[in-house]
Amino acid sequence: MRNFIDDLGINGHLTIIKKYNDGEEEIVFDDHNVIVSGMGVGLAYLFTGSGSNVITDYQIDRFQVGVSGATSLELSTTNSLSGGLNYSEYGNGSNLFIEQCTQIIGDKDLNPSAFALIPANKVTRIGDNAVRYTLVVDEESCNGLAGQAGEDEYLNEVGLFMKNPRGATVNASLLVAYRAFSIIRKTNDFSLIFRWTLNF
Amino acid sequence: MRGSVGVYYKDKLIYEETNLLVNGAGSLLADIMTVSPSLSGVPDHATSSILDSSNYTIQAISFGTAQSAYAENAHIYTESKAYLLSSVFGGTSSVIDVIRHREPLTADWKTVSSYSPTSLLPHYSDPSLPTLEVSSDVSAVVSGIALSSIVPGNGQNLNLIPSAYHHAVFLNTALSSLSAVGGAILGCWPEGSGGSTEAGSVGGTDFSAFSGTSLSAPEDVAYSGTYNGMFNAASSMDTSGFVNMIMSASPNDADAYLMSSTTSGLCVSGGTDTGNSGTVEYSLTLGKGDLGGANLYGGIYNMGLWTIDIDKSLLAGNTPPYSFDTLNNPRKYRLFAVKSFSRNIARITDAAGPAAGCINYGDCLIKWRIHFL
Repeated sequence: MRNFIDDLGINGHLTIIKKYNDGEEEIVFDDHNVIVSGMGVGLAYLFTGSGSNVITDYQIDRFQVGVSGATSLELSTTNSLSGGLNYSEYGNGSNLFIEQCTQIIGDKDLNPSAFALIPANKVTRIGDNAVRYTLVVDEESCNGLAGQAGEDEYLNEVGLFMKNPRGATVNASLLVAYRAFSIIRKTNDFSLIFRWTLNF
Repeated sequence: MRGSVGVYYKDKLIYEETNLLVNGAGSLLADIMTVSPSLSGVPDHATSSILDSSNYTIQAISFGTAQSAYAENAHIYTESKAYLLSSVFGGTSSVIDVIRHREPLTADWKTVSSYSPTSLLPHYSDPSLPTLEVSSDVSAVVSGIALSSIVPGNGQNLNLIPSAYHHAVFLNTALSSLSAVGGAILGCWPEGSGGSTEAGSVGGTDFSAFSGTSLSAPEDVAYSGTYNGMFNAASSMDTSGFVNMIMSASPNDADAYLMSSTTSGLCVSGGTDTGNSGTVEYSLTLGKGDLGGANLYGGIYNMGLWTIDIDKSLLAGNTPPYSFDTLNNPRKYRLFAVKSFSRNIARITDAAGPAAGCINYGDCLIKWRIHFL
């Protein structure tokens, strides 16, 4: 049976842009995304009245980037990034505001997880049923990523999260959209802009 | 066609089919994602209450019939009908009168005591529709004044038979003295059994089906009776025909309320943990009196689930929290999902033996499920 997400036709599109310090922009990715089952879980909390009583807890106000993405993860059952960055990897000198809180992964909670918050002015309604999220990973963020053996690591996955659908005291966020992309070695020569549009 | 609606009649599943999520559902989600979090910092309670999640969930269900049916059936106005409504029945407000069609009556047909509404099929499935039907203006003209100029159609069955409702709606209009006639023409839901009538009956709404082409005399009554409305007994439906959502019950939430009765209004239940299907169920009982009454006004071909349209509610000068009011409801609604039937779910036929169909209705249970996973 088709579910709510299928019936409503929720889908999304992701464009990733490298923006260099001299203002030059380069589109490095432009494709659809995957709406994962967490969207349905979060909305079910809302419509049953069993989750948070505050509507902003159901908003998509945070994201993660990671280094272990794969096209095999582009499934509706995906509930977390494969290699999401930790707090320090987002970069101490960056303009990103990082929140450490709980992440809902299936029937388990992961705590703490690091999320980059999306400022309210980067959430734009561009149509009756469409919302655009502009995620900015600035020049000082996510640079020089290295694995445990010191090997270089590359950004290659990103996910959008619903803030706190359960209405928990400590925010417990839920993955709602995911996409893996071609590897990007992040340096301070450019910022990364993720222009993510969801059509409800 | 999308979704899942089940109709149970006398505890037996008689209909199950998918529904259609309309554009209003997508618009609602976009609203949710873009409402300003800064409102939480506003000291004014009415403003900060905009962020209450109940403003963004299903809050009502409504019923309607095909567009053409609003110009037929018990919506028809004639001078003789007005005379009957105002004189023969002592001016009571609780009367539904309908002319049996299929004239001339044959000998066999004269024995039938079940009304078959004159109706065409409802509007084709269209996700862009903001209402159940494109137009539902009642075409009747009373004393030279079109009823629709005072009470325009809103795409669904109105609830103007109870005296308190039609008196209020027609107050200070050119038809204020004929509000009972107007209410009887507009319909469509009988009074509750606990209500009182000006004629002094024990409650409910009397109905009469007449033979012939006019409602010329009481002796032309082919069959009659009284319908007791469940919606108006529970005061769960406002004058515009919206039945209020009354209670939530989530089996996995220890703090949730217990499930309320589906006879009291629209109930919602469901769970959200990963061990279940992520299904939310909206359930409601359509009382036998309501089925009978609606059938005389054209039957039931459309149903809709509605959320609060907070923008329209605010523009109307109403601020949250929005309490439900049957007479002057501050809630403005936005259509979320619709279900159109190809058959009238209020249809009835005479049963074998002496059971006249018109008084042989049973309660009908609606189970409307939305699957999130």
